[in-house]
Amino acid sequence: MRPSRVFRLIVRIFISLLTLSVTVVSMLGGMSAFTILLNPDNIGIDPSEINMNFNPSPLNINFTLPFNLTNAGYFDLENLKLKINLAMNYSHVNYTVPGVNESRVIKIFNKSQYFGIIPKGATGKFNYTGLFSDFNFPPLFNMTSDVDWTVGPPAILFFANFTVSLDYSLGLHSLTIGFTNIPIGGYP
Amino acid sequence: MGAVKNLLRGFIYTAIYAVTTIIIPLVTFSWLFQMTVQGFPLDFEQQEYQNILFWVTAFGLVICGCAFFSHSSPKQSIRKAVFALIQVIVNCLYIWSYRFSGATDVQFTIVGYGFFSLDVQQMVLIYMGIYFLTIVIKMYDIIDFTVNREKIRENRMKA
Amino acid sequence: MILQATDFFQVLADIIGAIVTFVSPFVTPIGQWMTDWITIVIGFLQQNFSGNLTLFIVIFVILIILSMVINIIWPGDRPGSIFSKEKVEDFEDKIELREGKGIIDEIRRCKDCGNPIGDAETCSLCGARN
Repeated sequence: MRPSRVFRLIVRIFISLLTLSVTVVSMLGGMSAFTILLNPDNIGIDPSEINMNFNPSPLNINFTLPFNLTNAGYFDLENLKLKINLAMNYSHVNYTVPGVNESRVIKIFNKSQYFGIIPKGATGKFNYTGLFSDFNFPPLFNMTSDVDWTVGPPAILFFANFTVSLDYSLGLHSLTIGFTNIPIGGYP
Repeated sequence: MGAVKNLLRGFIYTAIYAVTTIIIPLVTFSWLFQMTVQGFPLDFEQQEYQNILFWVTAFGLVICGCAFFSHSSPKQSIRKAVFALIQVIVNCLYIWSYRFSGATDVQFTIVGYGFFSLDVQQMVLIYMGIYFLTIVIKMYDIIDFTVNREKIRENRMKA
Repeated sequence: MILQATDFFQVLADIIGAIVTFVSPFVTPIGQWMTDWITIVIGFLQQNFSGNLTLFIVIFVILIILSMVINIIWPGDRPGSIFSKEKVEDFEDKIELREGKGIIDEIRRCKDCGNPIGDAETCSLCGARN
């Protein structure tokens, strides 16, 4: 065999090894994802565990959400991020036509929080916090006068969208799981 | 007789590539669109089924044509190396067209519950990098077969 | 048994993961460059040829026919084309002749007795003038 063919053979073996490695990583990543997702205990995000403090006057709102995630797979979970959107549903006082109120939904909170890495085989326990400074109420919105507090209880209802995103299989796979329109409580 | 054997080899490889680059992806996409998870139907957010079908078929056809030309050519011939290089380059377009078809960023809406999204773009980047090495090897083959063509032809006549 | 399988997959994941982690910083930038030019080419193709599968079918058919014609006329197991007058046997004779003519054949010999004489004009063995 010519020396050029020998060199070519070595490079081909190297390329085949690389391709096989990436393929095996993808397959193991897929197996791990199924292992994690098929067991509900591995994903411990419970909206009912949101600990919310709300005071309409003076307006103050904050909450914490403890959650945990078990990495039952073969690779580390990287760049774990939890994003929460909160919306508030209330009966808006109609000053133009008294007595004819309208139901409105306003978005009041949108924040992502990063939680780093969960090593393989480990369970990560985290606490998501939403401070009052993270909330964004619409301009000119007045919690005391715009909300019809005679409705209900509850007069206002909170809904949340949860989005969990993470990188897996050495960053080759990016996973995002979302739970939409989850009711998390009301006031009073 | 050599020509018949070469053409037969070309047909066999073309059939293999037709199955792997056209038929299997089309069947897989058709199955995915009908998949359900725990009784909930999955509704593809990116309904570009027609786009996926078209580009998989289009590039698959060109890959099969190049595969036939390459594998029905004599061993270590210059034309074999040239069409093998073209095949690898078209294969790169084929893999990357999955991205434009949405196949590297697939979102499933689980009705009444939420959504699930998987992005494998990083994996495709690494595959592309490895493919570049394959392109380099194919170019190396062309140069090697051109420089040593007399010796290669003599060896082929003797065999 | 299941635990052993899990351990095996974990070991495999560690080894393969180390290979991919090592290679990834070199390969990923090359892959990014590849995707840049591929994106341009595919954008051009999508703008101009989207929905026109006929073109690709024609390319496929042309490649098949061209390949059959070229590989029948020049099959590679004989010199030239099938229309060439030079026979394979003549070519093989030429190869044998070239291979047979080694260093021994290049040494100058006496015309009468075949004794190697090199540059000399007279054979040292039989005395014949060359």
